Amino acid sequence: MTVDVGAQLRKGVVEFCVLGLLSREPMYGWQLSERLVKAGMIASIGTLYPMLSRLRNQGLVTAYDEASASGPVRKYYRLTAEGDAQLETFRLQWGPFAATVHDLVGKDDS
Amino acid sequence: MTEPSSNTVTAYLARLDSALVGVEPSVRAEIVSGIREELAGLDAADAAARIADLGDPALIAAEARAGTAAPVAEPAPVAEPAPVAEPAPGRTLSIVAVLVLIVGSFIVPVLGPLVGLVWVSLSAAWSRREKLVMWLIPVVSVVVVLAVVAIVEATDPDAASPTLPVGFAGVSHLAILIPFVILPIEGIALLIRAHRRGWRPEALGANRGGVGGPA
Repeated sequence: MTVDVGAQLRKGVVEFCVLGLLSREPMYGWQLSERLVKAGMIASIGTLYPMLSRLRNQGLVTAYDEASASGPVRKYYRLTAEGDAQLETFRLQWGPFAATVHDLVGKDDS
Repeated sequence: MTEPSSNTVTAYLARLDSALVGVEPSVRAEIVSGIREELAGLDAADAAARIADLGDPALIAAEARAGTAAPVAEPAPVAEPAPVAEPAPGRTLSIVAVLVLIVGSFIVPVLGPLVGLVWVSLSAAWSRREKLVMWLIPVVSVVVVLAVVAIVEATDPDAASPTLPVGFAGVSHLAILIPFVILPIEGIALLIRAHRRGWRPEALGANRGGVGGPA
């Protein structure tokens, strides 16, 4: 059985990547999607919205409407305090986790 | 909500919306409105470029469907290789074998425990290492006893001398410990180890770290 390693890896972290982006500034869907697609974290905007919906249901992200500079009213997403805390927890674990995985899968000369 | 600026946009949004049939309604509405927001106010060329970026509505819908499906089902836990409830094959024979090892000396001296040792060696309930340790303990004990006897005799040819410390006086009788004490203790240790793991060698690969003989 072949496994899409990239897909498996993304699945575990992509939601935190969304939280990470939103921790810098509120963003609207398209903006988020562009960043994530460019980074190779999601395949299309179709992946983003179900994720945003889950994050909102978990209370980590909230949405509000705002007129953008270019005109149209857009739905913006921003982190809640809980989302911020969750992101911080992830940040604390990610470094040691990545280092551990690196140790486990790395070659001897690494 | 701002209306789409062109027929292209309208047509695209309609295709998208119908491709999203079956996706959770709130997500479906959010995708369509998110894209409509983005396309709103763009001129035809920009809108066409954005639509090209977005790609096939069917693909977006497939992604959305995959994303809203009940959180990806965890793979079914791998079944235990051998349910503990089911007795290990040859379990009864293993129990008899270890019992022979424990009481063998009391029934038929020498031959009894020897049968026990061989029988346990043939059983699947113990690992090779445990069997090796089982054989080594009596052998090592014999060697130790013989060495002690030899040393005592060498240092004092009159082994029965009452000047010897009490412990050395009956040193040659230590040999009696092997069949009547060491082998039964060994057998009990093997019995307990095998029983704890359901009469299988090194259950589930867990090496308990100890050895088969008495500590």
